[in-house]
Amino acid sequence: MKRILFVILMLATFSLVAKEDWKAHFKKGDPMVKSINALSFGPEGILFIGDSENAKVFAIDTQDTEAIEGNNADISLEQFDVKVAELLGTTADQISIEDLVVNPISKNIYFAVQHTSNTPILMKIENGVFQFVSLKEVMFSEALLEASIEAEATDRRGRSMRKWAISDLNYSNGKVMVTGLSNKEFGSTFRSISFPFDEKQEMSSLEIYHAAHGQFETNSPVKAFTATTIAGIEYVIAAYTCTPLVIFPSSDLKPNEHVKGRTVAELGNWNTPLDMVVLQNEGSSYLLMANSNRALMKIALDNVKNFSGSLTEPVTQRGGTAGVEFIALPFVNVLQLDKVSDDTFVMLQRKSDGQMQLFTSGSRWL
Amino acid sequence: MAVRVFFIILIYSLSAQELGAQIFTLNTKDEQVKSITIPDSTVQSVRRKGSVVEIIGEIERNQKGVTFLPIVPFSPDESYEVWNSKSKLFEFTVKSNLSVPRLINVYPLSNEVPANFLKFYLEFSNSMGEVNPYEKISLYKGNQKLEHAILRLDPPLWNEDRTVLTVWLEPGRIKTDLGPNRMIGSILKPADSIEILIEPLRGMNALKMDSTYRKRIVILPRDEIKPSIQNWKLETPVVSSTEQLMINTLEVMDYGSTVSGIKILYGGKDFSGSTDFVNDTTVSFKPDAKWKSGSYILRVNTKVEDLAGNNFNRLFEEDLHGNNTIPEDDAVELEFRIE
Repeated sequence: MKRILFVILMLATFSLVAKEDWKAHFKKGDPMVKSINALSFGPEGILFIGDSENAKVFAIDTQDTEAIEGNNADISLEQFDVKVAELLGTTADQISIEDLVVNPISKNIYFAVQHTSNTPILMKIENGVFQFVSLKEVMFSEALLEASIEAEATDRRGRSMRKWAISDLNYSNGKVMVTGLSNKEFGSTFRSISFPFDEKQEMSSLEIYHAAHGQFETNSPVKAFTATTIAGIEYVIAAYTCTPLVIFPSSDLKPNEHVKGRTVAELGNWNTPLDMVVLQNEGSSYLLMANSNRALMKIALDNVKNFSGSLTEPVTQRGGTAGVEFIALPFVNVLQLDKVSDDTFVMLQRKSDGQMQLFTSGSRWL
Repeated sequence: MAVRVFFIILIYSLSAQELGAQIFTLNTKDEQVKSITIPDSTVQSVRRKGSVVEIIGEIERNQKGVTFLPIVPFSPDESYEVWNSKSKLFEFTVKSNLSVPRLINVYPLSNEVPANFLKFYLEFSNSMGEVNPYEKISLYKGNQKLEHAILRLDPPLWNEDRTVLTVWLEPGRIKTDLGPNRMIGSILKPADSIEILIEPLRGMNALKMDSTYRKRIVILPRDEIKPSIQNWKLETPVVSSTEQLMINTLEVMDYGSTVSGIKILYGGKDFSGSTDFVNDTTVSFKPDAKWKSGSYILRVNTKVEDLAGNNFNRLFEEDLHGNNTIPEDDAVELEFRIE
């Protein structure tokens, strides 16, 4: 009995020590967000916002931490951009939907809107109804992305040319990973920031190269990525602006390292990846990837795991693809994509008639 | 209640309009109409003219009446309706004499570029707000639009004050052996004459450029040589002056990386000043303080690129079979003296 009590006491102590206080460094106020380029949810309703204008990542406590029964199930919103524009008192050609994510707890759908006035706008959908999310009085913390970059000369108008545009952001296992494009050099830097953010912020950054068919090595910008576990090892799967899909272990994320991603697929011509998520169905995991010029792609992670090499032969067929196999799902022009549950996803699609629709789909396609 | 109609002319600062006893004020900042103040406590909402949807925003009520702050500014030349709980009170139209944005420069300024030309820059007179700018930019060979030529990036690559946009040509067609390059070939071929066409883009004040811009470029052979600082020539200024140091690169360089990748060091410390792209092969450096007599170092970040994306360390495409060692220096330097 004493032994059982001891074990219970030890477990209780361990759980107290192990429980992370995710909001320990949060403060109340207006984070002064200047742009919302990428979103990702972390633990306990914390929403990460990638802000290129500020060169920061904000962690916002949405206080949206209660499950809502049946929330946004089978949602279908037609004329999505027109409806959002009407609420903002503008027209659809003056806005773009920058990113869209689902709160894993409440299933509220959060999305960022960019307007020609350069006003950052955060909105959410609860039970199919649009709501504005104010960032004026929130609990938040922040991490500066440009801390390691030394000041540069400005031009005659006092302008700095440097701008690091955040192209994607994901939270995974206590790390916020961010990738961005430089407006000056052709390349991308991948940053990993430990969370909770604090003054002794640990941040690693690396540059990723890929070798086209084993011969020509180029620096290349990452457009979209996701983190997932394959065979017990955490990997980052990243897609370049110019098609190839690469993979590298998260453990490669060390400061000032140059990492070559292993190219596992070349997914077709003149196509830019837009968004990707990992879903599960019947014990298998699948990567879904939205593209600018191709249908929504489904790739079994088992195939990625089993593809142990790197592409060495050029793709010879016009518009051809190579490497791990994928299945094209019957959804083209998918602009945004996120996971609702293990086997359900929500997507924002530009339909053939030009209208933009938000809707959920699920396991029948997995 | 009768519908009262107001037409207003918006100048830059506060503007108050009066019709009978009714006054409303449009509050502007940075060329944007941020809010409307109405001395009528019954005001409940504002809508775009003809819309049934209430614009989301904040309503502040005090003794002076009601101030409505929409999430995004009211747009020039748009009409809006002010409502109480039951009916429309009046309409207003935002008319403006705001500055219409213009395209000032396309970098490189030169009309000659290599066949592996990677990117160019558009410089505007105003801060721009176009949400999908790359859809307005295209390349033509004769009357034929070149498909898959411009990389459509999201978010667009604006500089800090949104006056300069970086435009990349489709890298998949430039990189040897990538699918697009193998299937439909390079975008640009030596001796081609190509027109860059930029349709009117919208400024952050919601106004559009008033004309389409065209620039013709002639295509030279591929550039597969890294830039070298040893080829650069300096025209040094007079001591005790604040004259510009003129840096002649001989080779046409990339605007964005060059203008911000140059520093001057004096006594090992940063000698502050501003750089300017005088022309494609000349960069000026104007110091904040007078030049002192002595030795200086021109320090150039190795990530500065030429028009083909070759930088001081790496070619845009490094041939891994070439057995070349790729340097990993942060900067290259050139020493000069001012006497």
